[in-house]
Amino acid sequence: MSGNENFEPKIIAFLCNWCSYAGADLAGVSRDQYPPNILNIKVMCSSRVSPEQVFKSLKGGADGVLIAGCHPGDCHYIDGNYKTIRKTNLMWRMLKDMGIDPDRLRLEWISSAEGGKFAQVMEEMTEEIRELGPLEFDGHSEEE
Amino acid sequence: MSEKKKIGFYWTGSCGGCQISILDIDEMLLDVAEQAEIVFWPCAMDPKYEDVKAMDENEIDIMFINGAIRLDENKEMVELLREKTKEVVSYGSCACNGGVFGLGNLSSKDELLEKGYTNKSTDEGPFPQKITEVEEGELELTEMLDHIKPLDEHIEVEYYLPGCPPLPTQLEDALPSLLDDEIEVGKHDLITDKSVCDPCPMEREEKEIERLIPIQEATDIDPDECLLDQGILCMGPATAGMCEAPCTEVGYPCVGCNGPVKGVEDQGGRMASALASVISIEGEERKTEEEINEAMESVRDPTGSFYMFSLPGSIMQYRRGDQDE
Amino acid sequence: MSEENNEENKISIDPITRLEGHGKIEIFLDDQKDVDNAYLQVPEYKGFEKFCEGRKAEDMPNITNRICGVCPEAHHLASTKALDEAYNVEPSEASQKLRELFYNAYIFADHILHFYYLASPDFLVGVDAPREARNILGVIQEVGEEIGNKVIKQRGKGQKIVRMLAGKSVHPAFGIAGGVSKSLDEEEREELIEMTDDMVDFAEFTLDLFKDEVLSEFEETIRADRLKTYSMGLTEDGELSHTGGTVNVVDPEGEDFTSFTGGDYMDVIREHKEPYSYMKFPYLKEVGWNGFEEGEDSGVYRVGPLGRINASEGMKTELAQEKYEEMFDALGYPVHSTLSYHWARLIEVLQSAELLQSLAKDDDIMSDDIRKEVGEPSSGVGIVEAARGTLIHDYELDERGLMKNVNLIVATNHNASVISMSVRDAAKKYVDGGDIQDGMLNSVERAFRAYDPCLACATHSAMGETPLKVNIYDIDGDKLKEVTQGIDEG
Ligand code: SF4
Ligand code: SF4
Ligand code: SF4
Ligand code: FES
Repeated sequence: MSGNENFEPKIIAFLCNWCSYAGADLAGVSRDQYPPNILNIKVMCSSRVSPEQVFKSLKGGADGVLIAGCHPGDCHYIDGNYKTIRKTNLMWRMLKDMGIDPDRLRLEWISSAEGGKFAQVMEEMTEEIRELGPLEFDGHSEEE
Repeated sequence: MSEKKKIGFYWTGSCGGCQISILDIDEMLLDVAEQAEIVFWPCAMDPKYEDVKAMDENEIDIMFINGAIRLDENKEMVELLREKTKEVVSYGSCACNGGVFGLGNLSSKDELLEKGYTNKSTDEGPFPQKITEVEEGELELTEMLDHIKPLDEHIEVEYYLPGCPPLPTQLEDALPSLLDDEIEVGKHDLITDKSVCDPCPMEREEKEIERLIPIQEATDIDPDECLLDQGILCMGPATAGMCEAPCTEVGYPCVGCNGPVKGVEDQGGRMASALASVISIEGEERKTEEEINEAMESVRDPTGSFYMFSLPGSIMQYRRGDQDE
Repeated sequence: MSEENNEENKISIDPITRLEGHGKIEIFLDDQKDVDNAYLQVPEYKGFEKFCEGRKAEDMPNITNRICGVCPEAHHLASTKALDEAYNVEPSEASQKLRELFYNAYIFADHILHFYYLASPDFLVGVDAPREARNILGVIQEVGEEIGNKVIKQRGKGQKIVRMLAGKSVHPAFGIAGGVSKSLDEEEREELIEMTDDMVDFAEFTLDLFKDEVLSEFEETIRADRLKTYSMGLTEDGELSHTGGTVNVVDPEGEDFTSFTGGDYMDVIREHKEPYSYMKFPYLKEVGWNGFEEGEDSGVYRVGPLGRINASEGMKTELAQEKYEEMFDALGYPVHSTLSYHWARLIEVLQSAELLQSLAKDDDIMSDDIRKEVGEPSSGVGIVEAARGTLIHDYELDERGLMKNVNLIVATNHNASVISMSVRDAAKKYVDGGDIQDGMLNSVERAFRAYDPCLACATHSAMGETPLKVNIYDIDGDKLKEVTQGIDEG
């Protein structure tokens, strides 16, 4: 599967309410340019994002998933984002075993003040996934 | 109950354990034989495919099907049985979630064949093939499907009774209600929303652990304390507990054979969440992400461990070609 | 059996085309309507060797359990033993005894199941009896309900012992590299002692029954269907063993041919393949693959009860030893007749019961010393005797204890060639292409069934017991008749 210049990847971003969601907002307000095909979903803490939600997003048509939360140390639930690191580690490995490039799942720390970082992350991620091409979740040879 | 129910048992790609589990209900089998007419059971009776074919639609009341769908003929047979049956019971973890053979979905069909027939002790020569010409005529072999899928991906299913195999008690519980029409026709599962931890006799405090320890290295296990609390991977928290935890009862970790608890779609995902909560490194705040990731390496083979019995029934189901090139 | 008389002398049963799944015998007739050749095909494959790659070593006993729901204990123990070696650890005396307890309980239950449920209908009820009667219910009718109940109860005891140690009888949870997960407490031990006394009695009773009901009537048949091949089986100090020791191979004359342990199996065994079957055909490397032939120049060999008993110099226990001598006195050494498998099997039942009896009285089975420190992961081979024959698990681990390479040679596989040959010979002998009768075909099945073949194991795949289909084709390749065999486990 090679990258496709005209391909506009669909990305689902799970954003922590306390930091990254605000960061995304800020990016919007300050008109930082970031690619349009992103669906932002607000969660109470990055640790609330379950592997099921990530896998289903990919199965449901997303080409990439972003999980973004507060910087380590700043989580409102104390160690929520440490759980997120550990869970994401497992998800990367599971995705890899299932033949899905782990780069389709990205983990970032973005505070409410980092509108610019949000835009930059989205920019990068879109490029990376464009490079990877569309995720053909059910595109493997099927019987019948 | 006016008339005797017509029931049947059939297996597809299976290890035979599910059939043994049916025999293991002992005397109850005689009750069943009294209450119901067994019209199809190739394992125990002369199989009569033709007779099934000749049956009317819905002529069989209840059909228990175990095993995974691995071969083209598995698929054809269950499709035929569906036509002739009112209520299909997906029996055992292979039928419900793909079972252990579902790990085959981590490889392609060709890789599976290649490995088995190029083993170090195997002679060279052609692989098994569909048609072989021999001196006296032609020999035909069945073909593998690309992926293993649970039964309900091929036909509609009314009841789910997972377990590898389901324990005789599970079947004994389910049979009377099935035979007496206590349960209405429709979608039902005989899965509990309680995890294996619930019936498990071990003391669980949900302690935080630094890393997982392979069981062979943990030579000093406290027989009363939760295995996971002692750092041994136990699938209990993510697994449905109909079995009453016979494995942890004898000091062996649960490997997850019942599949996910009721209402949970993805056993592996659930286990990843559970583990992410209990593993915690001392002084984590001062560690870098790399160091935490490094520590997570004590979770060996997460995919194979978490989905040992449920990969084809999980969200991702089988390996894709994303990374092949 | 359903059958229709279609045209003239062509008997055809509309094929149960999609049911064969698990075993198929194709018989071809020649011009004279005599049997020309017969092929055994196993049309199923699951690919364990591949999908075990990358798994945690400690999961192997649980994954390979599921190769077969009839003999999960055999795979469980072979796998555990391979891990002992791979982790360079010698289990404590206590855990070895507990493993033996577990294993002999399995051999006992499995052999009983096979003899009474699967094999005995052919003898006690008769090959020509109507199909409906050729099952355990028919047997019970023949031998009486009391005995029938006894059979069910005694087999249950074997399974009960497995459950005591391993939680479940189908897919046990027990073996760990360097030991086991559980020993017995006082209460369980008492129960065990009580059970095992009965089991020895029952084993003796079964041998008597065999002598009175089967041997007396079928001696000719039993002597008749011979295949002179090499024999293979585990021995410990020359004595027949199921759980460990040296694999011994004797030639068709009964002379020691070779012996091996562990990874040296690679020097002795190769696997031939035929494209028409998913089942491979192992043979002795030194002799070579010379087709489906008997004799000294053919690498074909037998495993299972008969292979074991030929390959050993005696039994481990007293009563079984007497019976061992009795058998060879009657039939000469080595024994090559296929139906003697049943006799050998029952002698093994007795040995297992006696071993259980003495293990039950051994205090070690209540010891806490059931685990040992393990070394670094490397590679290892585990060999046990499954009920149906020698079972080899060969593992290569990486430094994290993940599986790098897996090779499995299972019991029924070793017998693949002899089964094919026995079936072919029985077909030639019993089947008259001009007038095909049920009983003839059942004689073919009977030859097949003597091996207690487990095609699930053979292809690391499906069904435990073996549903089988026999097709007969005339010279033009038209199908004349088809017969199917379920498991007569009514
Ligand atoms: S669910 Fe388990 S016991 Fe049943 S067929 Fe599958 S592997 Fe065997
Ligand atoms: S994690 Fe395992 S040992 Fe612990 S309580 Fe749950 S089932 Fe029992
Ligand atoms: S405890 Fe776990 S592995 Fe054991 S039977 Fe129950 S679900 Fe299966
Ligand atoms: S609250 Fe933001 S990551 Fe936990």
